[in-house]
Amino acid sequence: MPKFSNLFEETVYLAVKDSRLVTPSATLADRVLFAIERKKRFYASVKLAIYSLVTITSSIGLAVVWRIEGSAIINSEAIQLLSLLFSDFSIVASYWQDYAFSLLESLPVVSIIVVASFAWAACASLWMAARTYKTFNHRAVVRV
Amino acid sequence: MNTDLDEKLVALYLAGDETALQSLVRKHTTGVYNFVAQLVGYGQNAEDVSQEAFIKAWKSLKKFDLDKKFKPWLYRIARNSAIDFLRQRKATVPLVNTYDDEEVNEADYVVDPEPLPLEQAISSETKEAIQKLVNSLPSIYSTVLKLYYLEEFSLPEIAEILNESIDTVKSKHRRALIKLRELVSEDRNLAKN
Repeated sequence: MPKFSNLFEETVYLAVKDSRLVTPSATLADRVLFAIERKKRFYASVKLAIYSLVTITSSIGLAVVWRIEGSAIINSEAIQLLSLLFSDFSIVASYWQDYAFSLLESLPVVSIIVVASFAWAACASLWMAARTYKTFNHRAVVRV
Repeated sequence: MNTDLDEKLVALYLAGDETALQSLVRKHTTGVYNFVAQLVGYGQNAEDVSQEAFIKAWKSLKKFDLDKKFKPWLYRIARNSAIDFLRQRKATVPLVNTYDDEEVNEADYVVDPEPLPLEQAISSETKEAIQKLVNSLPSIYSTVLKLYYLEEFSLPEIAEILNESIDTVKSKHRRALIKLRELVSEDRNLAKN
């Protein structure tokens, strides 16, 4: 309750607090909620479109990049060293430090980064698109 | 009014509870409408501005500081929406607020379950007369009085809503009461009571 400095102010308070609040039309609250829902769906559809576009673009990019860099990765010395891990583990274990350095030196780092980037972009955008689609399909109950 | 509930509803909505937003909107629709109507007039304009205010509030809800009170924040957005509306219409903020009984379709009475001693001595006619005089004050004064006595915002909260300093709001509150006292003095019947 407000503080009063005099009797007049208290009188004003008693009069004003009993003021009639003009009630808006009965559908205003519903219209507000419906408008918010509409905005939500619009933003969700824009997000979905963007994520879908990124998924498609990065997937195509991944295919192109793999075609260019894939053979470099498959035919690299690193793959052959990795196969040694399964075929002759005892030698790898004995000379693990030399093995590790050789493996690192032979990695086609740039190719791996490029391919991994496109793969990550495709997966991440697909995941975001799926999540947005799930939200997009969620319907709030709005009484009209 | 339990404003802690508002902050809880906001937190619930941000956590994914859609019904919390519905509760917030339904709870504050009438208050926001009446507040906005002080600037743009009652009717369709006030409803449109109220709708716009709620949409803006919803858009900014993620940025809302849960340590602060929701209602003053909402009313500030409502005020800004009303000002934007008036700017678009190239209209000036109304200085005089008129109250038309015919526009009142329903009454939503604020009932105090524990009447103050003075309240019992004031007739309903006196109250209505004072209400009319308050409504006839310039909007800058009637708004402060209604926010303070009807909505029971504190002066710092009113300053936040109106985007003014606390001293300015205190000054407006003081001048509003002085102006109101002058109007009461001019109304001889009211002055007798």
